Amino acid sequence: MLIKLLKHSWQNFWRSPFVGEKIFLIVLKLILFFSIALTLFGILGISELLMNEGKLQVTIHQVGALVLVYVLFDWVIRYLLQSFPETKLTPYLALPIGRQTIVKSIIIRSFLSVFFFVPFLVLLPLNIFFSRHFEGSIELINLNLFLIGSSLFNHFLVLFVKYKARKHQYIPYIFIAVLVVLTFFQMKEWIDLAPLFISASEFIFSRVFISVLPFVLLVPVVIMIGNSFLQFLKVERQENINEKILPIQLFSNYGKLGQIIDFELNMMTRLKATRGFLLFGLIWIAYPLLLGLKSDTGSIPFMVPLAAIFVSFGMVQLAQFALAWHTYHFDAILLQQQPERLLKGKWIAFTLIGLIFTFMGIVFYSFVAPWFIPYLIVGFLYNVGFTTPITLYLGIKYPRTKDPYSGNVFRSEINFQPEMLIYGLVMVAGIFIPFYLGKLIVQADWAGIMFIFLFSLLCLVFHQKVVDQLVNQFQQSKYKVYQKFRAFAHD
Amino acid sequence: MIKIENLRKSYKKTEVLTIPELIIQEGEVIGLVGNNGAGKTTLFQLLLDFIPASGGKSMIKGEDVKNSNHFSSFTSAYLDEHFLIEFLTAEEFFYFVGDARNVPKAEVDELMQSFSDVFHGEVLGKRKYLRNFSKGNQKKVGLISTLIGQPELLFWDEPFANLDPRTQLRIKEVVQNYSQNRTWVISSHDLGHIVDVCTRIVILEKGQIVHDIQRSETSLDELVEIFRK
Repeated sequence: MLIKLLKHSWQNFWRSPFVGEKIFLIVLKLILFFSIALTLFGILGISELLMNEGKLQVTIHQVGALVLVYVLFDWVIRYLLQSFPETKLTPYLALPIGRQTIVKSIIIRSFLSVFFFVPFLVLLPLNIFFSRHFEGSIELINLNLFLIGSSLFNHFLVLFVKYKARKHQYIPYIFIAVLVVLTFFQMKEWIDLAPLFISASEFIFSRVFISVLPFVLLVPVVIMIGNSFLQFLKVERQENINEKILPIQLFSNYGKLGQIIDFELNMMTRLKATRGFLLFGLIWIAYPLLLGLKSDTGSIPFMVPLAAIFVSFGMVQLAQFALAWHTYHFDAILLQQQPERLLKGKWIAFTLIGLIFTFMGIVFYSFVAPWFIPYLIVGFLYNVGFTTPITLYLGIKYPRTKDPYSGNVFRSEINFQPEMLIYGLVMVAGIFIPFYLGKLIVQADWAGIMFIFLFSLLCLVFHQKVVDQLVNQFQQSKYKVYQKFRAFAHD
Repeated sequence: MIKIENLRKSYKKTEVLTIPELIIQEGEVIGLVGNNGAGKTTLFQLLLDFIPASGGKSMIKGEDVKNSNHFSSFTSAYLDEHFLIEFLTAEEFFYFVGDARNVPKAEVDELMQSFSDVFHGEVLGKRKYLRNFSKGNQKKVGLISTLIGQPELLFWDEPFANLDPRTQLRIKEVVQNYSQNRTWVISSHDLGHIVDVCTRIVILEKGQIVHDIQRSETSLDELVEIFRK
């Protein structure tokens, strides 16, 4: 039954009206094919391809061009899959299917998403290449952070649009269009890279890849923009936005555009997911810049391990976001006496993902930079001991409620909470305070890392207690959550 | 089969359903009647454990639905189109339900064929997803799917709405033919149909049971009189 439910997930996607048009479906399959090709190509040959007799053959601009296409690609794939139609649980709950099976299928499905694997599989070969060339220096960290940051930023934008009741679907297309234009401006870099790809690679498809991919990416974008434009024309514009549901009103007096801007601001600040993504997105985007500034002062050595923890942190967060994608189901599951298992299942899932990344990191870094391994382990402990419970706690404290009948998101009772910012700061400060405390006390870089390690261990020791407490809160809040949105549903 | 004790449902401070006691015996066909907002759908959702009760218990075969999912193995329900898996074709949906209820494919085929007159050639073999069906055809698929596996307890919410006259008659026949040894809870605004198929009629008003009558020859007149007041 579990397999059948997973199959339904994919059927739901492939058969959704969103990908219903045949041309669109073919193009989408082509994109997925290229994603696999890109991954294989990258894993097998990218470092050999870009290096020739130990000398770097590409400029940083060319790498930039590659990364730009990656971001565009990531965005298109992510946007499509984020628009994955939400599976209604009612038919399954009405059948004699174990509720545990339904929960399992939802959790497993999160790990089967293309958007989860592709960015990681692109990150890995690029890491290998940059580690070999730059020996784990600032560029490696910056690239990692940039890619993770861009993924999270994409994720944030997708959710941001998705929660707007699908009324402003044109926003991601604007973003995609900008990326497409930028990609075309980078065409010269692509052309310069072409001989390298062709000579270095033994793969026939490299020629096709280099010349066709940008156009392949363009086709669905054009279709989507056209489709969206048509939909946009049909959308019944919301004439009066209820003042009660918009606590932030800065521009509402300045016409329709002002109302829309206010609506966006409210969505960003009032929804847990978007608020979280906004916060982390900004951190990830800003952090490479901070590192870049640090590199000029020569203080890279101790920043690198710290950044490694951040990278590991980002990986686990990425996994959390993959699961957060299914928050729609969260409310439904709340009702089915599954909170304890769901919460623990989520925590275990996060831990497993972190463990897998850490293990892969250990294998990888044991070849290129063995000194890096302790930092990875510290990063893992920090994530499972400290950041994951906080993320789960925030999920309980600020659940997103959604009416399954109308698809509307109701948050009218929960306005912007300043304490949300405090939680965010705690999560960020949680890594800086022990680091600098340790460094100040012992006057050595490694002491900072040791302090984070000890802090993480302490969190883990108390973990069971913390999780039990969360479960209790979860139990108490589950009906409250449901009542909030049932109050809006029809009898 | 069903026992309700002090069941309450409230949203914020508004009490939408209060049933001190309701016992439904095995083999009864219960008609739930009431104006819009009377709490019929809420009662179904509480009995299916789709929403939490604010107080009290609903028990099916002696087990509180809140604590056990066992009732779903012998219970079928179709309340609205949310009970359909919208991205499947009708056949796929029937087979999936059959699979979940451990019913062989051949038996599902047999059931589908026996209702081919109801489908009017618009449902089976159309390679059309359920979401693209008309409301009426969606309802036909949903209602007939609940018969798969011969469940002992069935919940139908507004089964006659949106259906053509021939199908309405056929649905009534189904209830009459299949109701032996089965418990059925049916809600409807069509008093005539309810009187035709149900053995007992429960009238809800503002979340409370105001009448509970056994069907008799004068039931229709009684109901008309009640709703005229």
